[in-house]
Parts: sequence; C-alpha cells; structure tokens
Amino acid sequence: MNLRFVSLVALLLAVPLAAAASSPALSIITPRGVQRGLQHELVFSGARLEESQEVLLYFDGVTVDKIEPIDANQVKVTVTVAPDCRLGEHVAQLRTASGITEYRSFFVGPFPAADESEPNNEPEQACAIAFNTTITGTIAPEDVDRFRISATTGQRISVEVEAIRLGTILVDPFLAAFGPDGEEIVFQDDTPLLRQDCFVSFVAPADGEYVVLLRDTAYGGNPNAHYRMHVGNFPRPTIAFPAGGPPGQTIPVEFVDVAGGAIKQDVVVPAAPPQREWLIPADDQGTAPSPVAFRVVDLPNSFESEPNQNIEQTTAVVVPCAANGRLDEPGDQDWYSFEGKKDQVFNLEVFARRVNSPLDAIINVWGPDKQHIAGNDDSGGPDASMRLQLPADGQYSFRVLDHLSRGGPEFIYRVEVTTVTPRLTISIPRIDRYSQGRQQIAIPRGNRFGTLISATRVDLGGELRLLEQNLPPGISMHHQPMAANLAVMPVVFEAAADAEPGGGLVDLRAAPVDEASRVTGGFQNRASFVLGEPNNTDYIVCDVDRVPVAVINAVPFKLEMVQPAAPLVREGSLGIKVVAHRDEGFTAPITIQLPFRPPGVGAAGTVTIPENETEAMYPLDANANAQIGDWPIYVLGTAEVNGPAWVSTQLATLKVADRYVMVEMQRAGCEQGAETRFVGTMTQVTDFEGTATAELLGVPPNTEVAPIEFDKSTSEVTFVVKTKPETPAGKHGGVFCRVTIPVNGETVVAVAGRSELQVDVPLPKGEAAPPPPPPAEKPLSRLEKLREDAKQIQENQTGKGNRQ
Amino acid sequence: MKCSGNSLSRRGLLTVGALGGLGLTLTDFFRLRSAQADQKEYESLEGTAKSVIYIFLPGGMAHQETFDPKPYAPIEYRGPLGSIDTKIAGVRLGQFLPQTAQVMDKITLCRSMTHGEAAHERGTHNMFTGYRPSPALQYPSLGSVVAHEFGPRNNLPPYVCIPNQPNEFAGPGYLSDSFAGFSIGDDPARNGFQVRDLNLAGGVDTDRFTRRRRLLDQVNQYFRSREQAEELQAVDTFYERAYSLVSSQAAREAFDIEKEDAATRDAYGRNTAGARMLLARRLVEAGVRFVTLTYGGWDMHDNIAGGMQANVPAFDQGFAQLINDLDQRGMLDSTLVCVTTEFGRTPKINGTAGRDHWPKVFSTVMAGGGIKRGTVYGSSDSTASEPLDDPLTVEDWATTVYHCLGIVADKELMAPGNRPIEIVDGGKVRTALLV
Repeated sequence: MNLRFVSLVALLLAVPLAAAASSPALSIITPRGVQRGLQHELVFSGARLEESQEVLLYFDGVTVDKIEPIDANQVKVTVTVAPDCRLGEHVAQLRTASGITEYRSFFVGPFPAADESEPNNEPEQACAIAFNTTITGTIAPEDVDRFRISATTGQRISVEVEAIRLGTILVDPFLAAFGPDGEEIVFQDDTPLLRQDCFVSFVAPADGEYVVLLRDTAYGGNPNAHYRMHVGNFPRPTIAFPAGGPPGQTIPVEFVDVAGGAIKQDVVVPAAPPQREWLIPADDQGTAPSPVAFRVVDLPNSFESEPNQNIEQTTAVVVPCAANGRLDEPGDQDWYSFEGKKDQVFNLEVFARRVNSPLDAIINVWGPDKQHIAGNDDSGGPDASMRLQLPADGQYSFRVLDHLSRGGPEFIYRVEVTTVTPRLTISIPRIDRYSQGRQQIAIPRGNRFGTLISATRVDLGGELRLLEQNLPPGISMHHQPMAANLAVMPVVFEAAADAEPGGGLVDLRAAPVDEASRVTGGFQNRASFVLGEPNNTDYIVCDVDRVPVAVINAVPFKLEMVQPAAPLVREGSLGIKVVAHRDEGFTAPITIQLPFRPPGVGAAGTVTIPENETEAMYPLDANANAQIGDWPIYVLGTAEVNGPAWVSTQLATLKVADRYVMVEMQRAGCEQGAETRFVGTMTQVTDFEGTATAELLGVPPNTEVAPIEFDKSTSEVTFVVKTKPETPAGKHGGVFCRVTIPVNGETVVAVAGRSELQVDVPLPKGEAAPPPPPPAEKPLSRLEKLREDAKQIQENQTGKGNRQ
Repeated sequence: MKCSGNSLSRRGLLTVGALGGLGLTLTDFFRLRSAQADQKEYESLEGTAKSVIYIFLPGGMAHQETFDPKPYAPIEYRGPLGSIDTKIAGVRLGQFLPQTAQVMDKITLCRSMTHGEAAHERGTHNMFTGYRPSPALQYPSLGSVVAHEFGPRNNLPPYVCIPNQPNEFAGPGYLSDSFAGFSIGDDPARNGFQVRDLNLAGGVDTDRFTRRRRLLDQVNQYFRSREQAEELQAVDTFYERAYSLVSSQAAREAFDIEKEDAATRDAYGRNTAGARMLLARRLVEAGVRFVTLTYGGWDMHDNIAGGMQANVPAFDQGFAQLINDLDQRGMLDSTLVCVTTEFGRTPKINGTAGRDHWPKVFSTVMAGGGIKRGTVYGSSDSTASEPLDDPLTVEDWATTVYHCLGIVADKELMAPGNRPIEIVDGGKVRTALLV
C-alpha cells in the first residue's frame, strides 16, 4: 500500500480523535525544579493531555524546545533555562488542541540537582553531599533524611529547603545541623522569610564532617511531599533595607544577615514593578537560592534619623513618601513628622511582615495640637494600615512601634504615605472553592465561550468596560459596560469559523467608561496550591497577571438563546428558550446554566437539554425590587465530548421591567361549604393590548375559583370562591393573584397581589327551643290539701249522684 | 433518740460514720442529701409509645425537596425538583416521596422545627439530646435516657444502634456507660450480615460457656472486693446483658434479618435504608425500647437534585413500608417513629446548585405511639425560610417524645458533681401533636 495513503488514512482517523479530549487537566510538573543555564526535560502530568500543542509560560527566562506526548496523561517538555533566569517559582500551563489546563509551578535554582538516597534515617546512614548542590527528595511519614558534608573552620554552611513552597502538598520541614562532635549547632522550623519552609546558615567552628537533618516538624510527611534542599556557601540574608525603592533608580541596600553579617550593595531597581520578588542576595561565596522582599513603588524613600524617640524628636519627612526605619532594640519607637493641610487625605500603610520583617507594627498619629487622632494595628494583616483625613493645617506626627515592644536588626519597616489613588483589578470568579475550573478562556472554533469578569475597585466608581487588546487572531469579545453598582459582568468570546487553533496569555485590562479617568486595571488570578487547617486556609497561593485565551478545536454543538420578546417583570417569571444546534450524530445531553443574573433576578441552577433534543426553556423570575433595565445575559452549556466541553450562547438582552398591573386584594372569609368573593382594585402600571387573565392561586384544597379575564381598562376584579364542607378551616395566608398578560406575542406572567382567606367551621344549626318547663307548683299547706281533698270528694259524690 | 427538727437520727449518724470508711465524708453526705432533696423526681411509667424507631438523616436534609415543598415560590427558592399530592388534600411532598405520600394519613409532619445551630455537630447534638451543646457537660441521648428509665425488656438491650452508634452525642453522656446503645456493628443491607458477638465462639458449647463464666465470676469477685469504680460496674452490667442476650434464643433471633421472608425484604427494599428499617421493626417487635438508625448523606451543598435522587427513593420505600408494616401488625399505635435530621437547608439554591445549612426552620416526621395521624403541625413561610405557625423547639419536641414514652422530661437525673439535670430543660408537651 502506498505509504502516503496510509498516512492520509491515519490523519483522517486522527482528526475525530483530536476533537475529542476536552478540558485537559494539569496536576504536577516534575521534577519540581531545574538548574538555570541548562536544558532539562520536564514531565507535565494530568489528564487528556495527548494533544498538547503549547506550553504557556508566565515568566521570562525559560524557553520550550520540544513537546512530546508520552501518553494521554503525560507530556515530556524539553526546556532551556537561561543563565540569568530569575530564581524561584515559575508558572506554566498547557494548551492542547481542545482546551487549556490549570497553571502549575516549577522552580529554577542555581545549583545542579542530586537525589537523596534512602535509607538515610540514622546518623550512620547519612549520605555524603557536596557544597553548591540541590538535593531533591521526598519526606515520607516519619521519614528523617540525614546528609553529611565536609567543611573547614570558618567556612559558611548554608542550607535552605523548598518544600511547602513547591505547592504540592502540606508539609512543614524542620532542619538541624550537627557538628563534627555530634552536638547540635543550629536548628530551625519556620521563618518570617520562608514561612513554613526554613534555612540554617552558620560558620563552621571546626574542620570535620557536619550532619544536616531534614524531617517534617511533626514527623508527618507524605510520599508526594517533595523537597529541594539547597546546600552551599551562599549568604542567606532575610531582609533588604530599605525594603523598597522607586523604579529605575540605583539605591544602596543593606542585606540583613544575622548569622553572616550584613551585605551592602547598590541595587538597580527595575523600571516597572516585576510580577515576582526578584532581589537575590549574593556575594563572592555564592548566590542565595531565593529572593528577599523588595517593593518597587514610585515613592521617594525617606529614612529615620535617631534620635526620634518621642513627639519632640521626630524625623521630618515630606509626604507622599516611604519612611524607612528600623526598631533597633526592644522598646524602641520611631517618630516622624510631616506638614499637612486641612482636608488632605493620606493612606498610611506599614510594610513590615509583608517584607519579611518580624515586626508586628502599630501606627499612631498625632495632630498639630499634639493630640492623638488615629491609630491602627492590623488592618493590613499583621501590618498596620489606615486612611487619614487631616482635620487642620499644621504639623502631624506618626509613631511606629512593635506590638510587643520588640526590636533588633531585623525589625525593619517602611511606612508608605500616599495620596488617594483609584485602583482597579479584574479577575474571573472561581466557580468552585479551590480549583481553577473554567478560569481559562478556551473558545471552540466557530463557537463561543462566556465567562464572568469581576472587578475589584478601590476608590473608583462608575461603569467599567474591558479594553480590547492583544486578543489572539480570530477571537472577538462581546460585553456591555459593567453597571456602577455591580462587581461582575458577563463577557462572551467568539472564535471565527476559520480561526486557527492557537492562543496565548493575554493582558486583559479594564477601564472606566468615563474617559476622563485614566485608571486601568489588569487581570489577577490567585490559585490555591496548598490548603490546610483551619478551615482550608491558603498556605501557598500562586498569583498570575494574565489570562490564557485560545481558539481550540471545534465541538459538535452550538447554543443559541432566543431573544425573549416579552420583559421579565417584577414579581414575574419568564422562560428563556435555548436552542442547541447539534452536529450530525451528536446526541449527548447538554447541561446549561445562567452564570450572570441581574440584581433581583433568580434562575434555576441548571437545566438539561435532554439527549437528542434541541431546546429547553430556562426559567427565570424577578423579585419585587429587581433592578429595571436591559441586561446582558448568556447561557453556558456543557456536554461530554471525551471530557466536558463548554460553549456559550451569544450575549442576549434580558429586559427587566416594572409590573404591568397591581391588584390590591381585600381579605375574604366564609364558613365551610359557603361562597365568598375576593374583590381587588386593579391599578394599570404599563399599557398592554388584548385580553389578559387573572387567576387566584394558593387557595386551600377543596376550593373552587375560576380565572377571570381583564383588559387595560379594568379597574376592579372579583373572584368568586366556592368552598366545600371538607375545605380545611383556618386562615389561609398564601392566596395570591397571578396575571398572564399578552405582550409582543409572548406572555408576561407575574404576581399582582396577595391576600388571605379565612374559612370557619359553621356554627351549630339552630334547633327549635324546647318548651319552657312548667313552673313548679307551689307546695300546698295542710289546710289547702284538706280543702282540695274535700272538693274532690264532693265532686265525685256529685258525679255519682248524677249517674244514679 | 432524735432531736426535734433534726432529720438525722442517731442510727443515721452512725451509718454516716460507717460510710466514712468508704471514702464518703460527712460533708459529702450532707451535700448528697441536699441534692437528693432538691432533685425533681417523677416515676416513669410506660406511655402510649412502648418503643421508638429513631431515623436520623445525617448531614441536614433539605426540607424544601422532601417534606415542605414550596411549589409557588420563585424558582431559586423552589429548587429544581417538583412536588406531588398526598393522601391528605392540600398537603404536598417532594417528588421523590410517592410512597410516603400514600401513608401521609398515618403520619404527622412537623414543618416548623427550629433551632439555631448551623454546624453539623451542634445540630446533631440538639436532635440526639434535646439540649444545645455545652462545654461543661455531656448530655445523654434520648435512647440512653430511655434505657436508664425503663431498662431492658425480653432479655434485649433497651437501646440499639443500627449499624453503630452514629455519633458521639448518641451515647449515654453523663449517665453510666451501662446505658449506652448496643451497636450491632454490621450493616443489615450487607449480604451475610451478622451481629457480632451474639453467638458462642466456635467449639464452645453451653456447658463450657457456663463453666467459663463461673470461673470469670470468681476472678471478678476478687477484683470487686478491691476496686469500686462506676466504670467497672458498667462493664459488669454490660456483661450481664450480654449473657442474657447470648443465652436467649428469641433475643438472638430478633437480630436475624434473614428470618424475614423475601417478600417483606423486597417490600422494604434490599438497600441500606430498607434493611435498617426492617431490622428496626424486628427489634422493637421483639422488645427493644429505642432503636436509632441512620441513613444516607444529606449534606447537599452541591447538586441537590442529584443528591435527592440518590438518597430519597430508598428512604421513601423503606419508610412507607415501615409505617404500613407497623400498622398492619397493630404496632404503630405503640411504636413512635421519628424522622429527624441535623437542620434544614438554605432557602435559596446556591451557586453550585445545592443548598447550605439552615437551622431556622426544617421538617421532621413523627408517627404512631400516641401521635395524631394525617396531620401537619406548624408551617414555614412562603419561601421555607422561617417558621410561620407553631415554631417547634427542640426542647418541646423532645419533651413530647418523652411524654409519649411515659417519661416526664422535667425529671432530674444526677450528673457528675451531684448536679441534678433535667432530662429536657424547660420543654413543654405539644398536646396538638397527641391523639
């Protein structure tokens, strides 16, 4: 057989398969780290990855050379890491022909890697390691890993562990180092710099072999608890002072290293705020494997000058600025002063814990009259943060101290005093609590995908719009401005029928509709990588600032919403027809949902278009205060196409309107079996043509009431309610009038009024009153009795005589 | 000689002196006397309910999809499921309860149950003890109180849990461990189901067992003479009950679900719900006073329609059959069947198509044992958010259950530290529920 023909057949067979692996997933990238300056093979593991086409990388310094699927769940990716690549966490996700995975991290380090070798639990089993190496391994339950390393007197020994930072699983590493004599020299569990991760750094006191011990703090562990332990002579400062500077400037920085002494260097601050911490301490003995915190903020730095211990001895600064200082010793407090005008508004934000200082800062402000006017402890997490409106012109003072009056060389801080600046960020809300589900925009070719975009506004009002920029070719974006009172809006992306599969990371931005405002807000997404007690608290998160957008292979169904002709009125309900266009042979049920609901509008959670069927009605209702207006809505649908495939309808308009009529109903009541009338006064709110129907619903069982018709001229309606003897007695409070009104060939259905029906048990029927008892005869006296007897005798005798 | 006004006779005083040898000081004695004097005491006499089958649905069953549907509520309140008519005109149930709808004339719905505890363990505590949880005291469960008040009947444990004690609050609390529930330890729905420890071990006949027991008694006698502890007595009580259980053929057979004919087993449903309810009926028929059983997982934060479809039909079949079966056997009027749960669920469907915790109003069911037939007690408002009529508190509900059993819930039991504690604090009998 012709080889070319075989290839063609294989290709044709492969096409339907290629269209059938929706929603790929990425769970881990291994190995968890690589050395910079070399080429490496990484394995991306997950599900439905066989059609991987591109690795989307969020940071510079790593380039992809080759992508080779291993099987459906694994892909081998060959990468080259530049020699000057930023050390620390890098983030990647896969784009396949049929979707985009979650993003996951891998790490770039300065040293070559070597695997730990088990068993190494006992001191005598400690495995030999060399300086400037990264040991990779796992901490199994109750696992203790020991390593030995030779050092000479005065040599710096630094060990830093990346474990929980790898974002794989909750693990809390513990490090200890033992000298040649077997005595423990140093140990560490948690640090302000690395949080649950840790490092030890010390100068070898003698020649000999040192042992490093690594385990979980509580002897926990997990077969998936990966670690990377960097061993070298590198410096390990924990803090930079000042911990920030204006972009583009060169400023002198002191790296605070309690164990090895301070390092002073000039640092060139990047011209734009970088996405990740970037300042890596280094000296002639090596490079630390991870950065220290340094803020790139467009504010001039000011520095405290001692003595500034009280309100009489302050360091004068000009605001806005960043006041940098250090609480040198326990009990130290730093005072600053600045000139202000009445009604000026400033934010005073302390950065201490957020720049790895152990300080738990409190800030207080005194006015020109030296009276205390404001203070804060923890509004910025452990850091203090406050907004201040100045009550008068004059000199103001603020004081920084530690909550527990501690101090020391690491207790540095910076107070950023800024004016009020509007800020805006946008993101895709999570659809479930902990995953990145549907936070990627993957649009099937010739189809649509919808998502919600949420906005976080700080000191910013008004309507918002998305800026259409940098979308991959063939993709268009449809949305209406986000209302000023909302924090979320629906957006539908559409891929042209001839769009080529492909995409990338997009810097999606939003801005106020009011063009006078020059604020724009970028995209931010936060993924939870490690969760733990209490209550699934985030331990390790991963933030990114772009959203992946791509055209993917076509899917065998499309959805369309039929634009409703009638409005959804307050206290009314409406069905929206959703039509599915199925490809030949595609019969799977399609589950649809309505992600965006205007204020006051409710809807079913999901509705299913049954197998082989092509349409469904999506029920909506509006409460009495639903916000009136024309709202953009879309319906999102999913069906099984070897994994869930997602598409959306077009962006349609839902008109939310006021009621058409209102009926003020009087209450009614009757006895069981009797008839009563509900009389309602009808107020016409919106004109309509034709004949409408009013029904009385919510009446008790065994009650009959007929619907009545009305038109736009009706001002009163009367329902005749017939009860039966078995109608339950009592107060039936749920009686309501529902109207069905023809509008534009459709119907508006709404509740127009409410009332209650009282049904009573009939009173006992009135029976004929019994005759009154005869009055009691008066008892006769003895004399009267004798007279009566005599009279009787006489009558008897007379009678006898007559007969005789 | 006895001084006027002194309730302690000379002989009594000598007795007190003797008690000192047992570790009871004079102060202890007076404190004990004082507590006893203040303790509210009522005699428990069997009431209309001779037994209770307590069906607990863990996780918090949504009332909207089961016993309190709101067909006229807006869609986001009404939920994704429909409702059906029942034998009682005007009373509707969730669409997955068609068989229960046919026994609606034999049961009573309480649609206004309310408490304020939205956490699983706290809601569970309420519904098993009649009390809000307290860090200071472990309260006894209803079953344990029944065991304490009435003791065993027909050689059977008074309080049995199917398959196991379902949670920590279903235990004896501050009462002696003697009143703990007997856990059958296996699921009656499982093929080859057998209650553990009911039969003599392999190779041990009755004679050998009796010899062993006598030997053990001698050893125990020695320890009893050296140790006095409440826990030891509780273990002794347990052993005694176990001996009587093992030695009684009829008692053992009560646990043997295989003795039921195939038609009955099919009628109840050969699943977790049906098998547990059938075993419960066998046990109360044989003489067990209080049977607790659990069924399903009702914590439906996501996809409530799917969750209901998976859980309700088996419950519906088993429960309706249980009511009919008890009625046909003439046992319904003497057996109180309760269906309860931890709490209800939120009025609105949430973002993941489920409902979250909502203790403000929810539904329970009571049937038989002196409870009216075919009624609905209380109601919730139009969106099933709050009680509308006759809010039924946990205290009143528990007091009514105890009342049916013949226990005055105001009676005080002695908690550790000689604290008399009411069986239920401040509950009132809801007479409208009673026949």
